[in-house]
Amino acid sequence: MDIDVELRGVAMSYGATPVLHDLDLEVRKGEFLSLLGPSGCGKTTTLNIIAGFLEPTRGTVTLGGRVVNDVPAYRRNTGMVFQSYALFPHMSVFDNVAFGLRVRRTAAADIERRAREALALVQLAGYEQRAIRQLSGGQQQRVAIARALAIDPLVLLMDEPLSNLDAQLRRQMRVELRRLQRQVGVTTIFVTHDQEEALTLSDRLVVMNRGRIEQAGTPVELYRKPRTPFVAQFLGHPNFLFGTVAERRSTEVAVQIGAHRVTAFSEERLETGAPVAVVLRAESAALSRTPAGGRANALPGTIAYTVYLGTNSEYEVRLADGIRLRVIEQMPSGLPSFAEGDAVTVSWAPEDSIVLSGSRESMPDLVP
Amino acid sequence: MIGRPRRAVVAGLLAPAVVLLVLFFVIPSADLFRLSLAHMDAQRAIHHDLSLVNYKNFATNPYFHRMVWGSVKLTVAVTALCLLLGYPAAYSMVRARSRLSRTVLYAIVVSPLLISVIVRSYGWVVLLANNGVINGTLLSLGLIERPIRMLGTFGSVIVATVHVLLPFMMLPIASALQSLDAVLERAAQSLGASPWQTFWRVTLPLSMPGVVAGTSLVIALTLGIYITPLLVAGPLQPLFAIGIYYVTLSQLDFPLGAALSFVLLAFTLLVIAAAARLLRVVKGSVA
Repeated sequence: MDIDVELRGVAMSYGATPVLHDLDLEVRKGEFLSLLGPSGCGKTTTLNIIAGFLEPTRGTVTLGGRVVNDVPAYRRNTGMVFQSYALFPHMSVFDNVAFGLRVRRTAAADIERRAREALALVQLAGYEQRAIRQLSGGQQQRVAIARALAIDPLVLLMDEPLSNLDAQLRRQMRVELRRLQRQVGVTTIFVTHDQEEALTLSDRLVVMNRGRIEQAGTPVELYRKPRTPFVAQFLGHPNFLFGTVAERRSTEVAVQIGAHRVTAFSEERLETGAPVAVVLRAESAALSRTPAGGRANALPGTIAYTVYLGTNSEYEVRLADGIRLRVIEQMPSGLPSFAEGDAVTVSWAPEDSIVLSGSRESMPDLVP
Repeated sequence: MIGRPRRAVVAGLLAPAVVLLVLFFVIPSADLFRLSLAHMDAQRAIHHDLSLVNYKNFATNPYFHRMVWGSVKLTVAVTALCLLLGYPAAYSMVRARSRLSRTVLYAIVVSPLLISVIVRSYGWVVLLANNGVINGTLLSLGLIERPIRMLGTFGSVIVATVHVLLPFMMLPIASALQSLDAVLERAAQSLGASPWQTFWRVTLPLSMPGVVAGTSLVIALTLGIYITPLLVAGPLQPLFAIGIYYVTLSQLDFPLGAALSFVLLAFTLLVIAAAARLLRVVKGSVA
């Protein structure tokens, strides 16, 4: 597999403040890779190092098989889409898209053809002579993408490109962006703090936290098998149930959580008595009115409050011992099945929960 | 967003400035204009007779034409030099990495404005005189055998005027560059533009409003400057404002001085109007 972008031991600090710690990253040819994390995690710094706007304190940056540490940004052939779009306000749509070709001294006929192609790709054919200020936010976004694609970049770098759009347009552009990237096949690095964006768009995503990579993998891998509490918390809407290992049979683990005993699977070697967290996603749990019966994971409780969201409802269930669980019910009918005060049973399949070793105190990244 | 203020409020806010302008600018100007239509006879008696003799004098006297030409030459030279020196300086000032160095640079640029123009111009006399600092240094180094005449030359007027007016070029340019989002320059570079191409295609066009504003300020101020050239080059230097000074205070021909003032005023307004027009054209493509 061809590697288009490679970072080896890349570290970065601003003065005495380290922002990246020995980062290793590989991006394959044609891959759509997301860097996901909260603000200040180092994802934009990483992008700027690849683009050549920042010089890493240590480590090597390789683009297309060539070490580019000493290559200035304008010779790296990376197309960048900025959060603010950064379109040139004194140029028409066409001149913006043609900019990269003109500074490369491309032949006039080629400029004309490639700029028009790029605009057609983002469905803005016919907008060539418009001024930038005449365009809506979504259209400006498309021009920014067309401008970056027109230079046929080795890698397309996108820095939170959708965060300035309203929610509906953002969803629309997400689909569009995926289609576009598949169609063009350009290697793409996409920086975002939005987990939904990262999950829908990426071939592979890299979750970053405090200047380090927490975990990298496909969206399904990261969602199903987060290896750290941070990743578990960042993707989906997890409940953390803290307890100790009561029993272990091959990969099946029984965990004692207060008065409750739940079953989960883990590949890890967990000693009996070891502190663990059972991570249960609000989306993976089910609610029923029937009592627990003999099911593996079934905890009785009361609905403390409900949040109606149209296609789904979010409930907080309070167990007798005070533990609270968030549960999300999908509602094709748009009608919620439960109301506040209802007695319910929260249940889930053992394979839908994750076991992470460690106590509450050992997980400082966790938001309470 | 605050709504449009009411008319009475607008009027109230404008009134003090309007009253001040009418009392101390409009009325005196009207008076001066009336004076420009008077004329002084050979016995230096002033007749208020509504004649255009002073304006005719200006139109036909080659001394005044030389004076206008001198002012135009000075304006072209000073404006060009202020641009060439001021733009890079303003750029590095705005783009200085640390806050501290930005502040220090700003202070350096603004500081001349805090010192009297007479003091600053005298500084040039001290530097450029035959027994001044520059000649003294060159002589003692043995680089020249006798002092080079610098004071009183057109060159010395250019140098001193550039020094006095440079802040007026730099501050508008710096303010335009300040409002230019640096991410645009990054965008240009990510698209393959070298620093030079980035400057020509992005930075310069987008800072044009500041360039035009600074240029029109410097043009207007150079056309009317007289203290500085007077101090470094004396009252015989053929410059418009010095001519007015000379006619009024040496020949005491107040009507002619008034007429020349109005010619200069009209000329300056014309140049500023042209610059404003240019500004609109540029802005139309930017904003």
